[in-house]
Amino acid sequence: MRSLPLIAFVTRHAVELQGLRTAVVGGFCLALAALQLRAQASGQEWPVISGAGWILLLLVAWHLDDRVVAYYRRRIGWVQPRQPLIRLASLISVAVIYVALRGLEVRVHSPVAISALFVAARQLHIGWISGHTYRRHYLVGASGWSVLALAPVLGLPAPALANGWFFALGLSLVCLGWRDHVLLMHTVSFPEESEYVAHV
Amino acid sequence: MSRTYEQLANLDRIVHEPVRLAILTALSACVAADFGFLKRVIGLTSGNLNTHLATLKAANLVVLTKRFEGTTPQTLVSLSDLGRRTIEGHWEQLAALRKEARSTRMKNPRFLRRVPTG
Repeated sequence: MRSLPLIAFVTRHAVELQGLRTAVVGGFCLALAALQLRAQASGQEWPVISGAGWILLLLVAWHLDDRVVAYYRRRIGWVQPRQPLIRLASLISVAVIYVALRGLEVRVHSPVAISALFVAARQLHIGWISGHTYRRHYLVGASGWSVLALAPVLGLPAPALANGWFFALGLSLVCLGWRDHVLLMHTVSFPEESEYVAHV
Repeated sequence: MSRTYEQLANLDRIVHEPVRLAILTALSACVAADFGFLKRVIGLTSGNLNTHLATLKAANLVVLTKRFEGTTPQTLVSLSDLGRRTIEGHWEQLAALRKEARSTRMKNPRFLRRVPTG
């Protein structure tokens, strides 16, 4: 039988630990970075995607997420988390704050990327401050984002910075998502291997 | 018998058994979970989990709901109101016991050495 804190942690965060869903988002960010790189090579500032193209991208993302959810349901079962609306609101507020900070730092030409520092703080919270040590891999992400926050000081050209941003976001989402997935799957390995027999 | 031992002896055996404590703790961290998830996250066989759920259901601590997910039958498990109160109270009781045991040890550092072992 597993330890009680691990059981409670994995049950409470079962949805967030479905890291392949995060990795899919990360994959899209990497694809955007590649598109942007190609656009820059052909002299454009931003890849031209039509409205129908965006809708198609969203539909593909939706479908992939649906398949991943079905996979997790098959492999680990189903759990209904507590306070789902608060979690959703928290996720949306993180995204909104990130976009707002990114806009602000571009407008005021901040020497330090405040948005990257915000992401680093968020990952530090997940990996350490929240009190659980199971997601320590987020500390690596936090360190990476802290270093990235200093990228503007290094005097990199604007196109490289813009492209690097998508690449860093995609890479961190894929890596952290994969580690979350490994943690979840490791915890819910097959019970037939358990030798624990309790007195009933 | 000291008060601490008396409190230990009075712990609810239905809740304090390790597997049932794990089931109730897992259920207290979510609204509901299906049988498969509980089985995997705690690391039990179906038969073992089934027997413990029957014990908890008989004590009115959990609610079992059967439904169909497409053509697949699914058993959902959730805590009853009594179950939620009981597991929260149990953890509080354990925390109080731990605090008391620690203060006893602080007052008398040789306390543990005098406890016969084996």
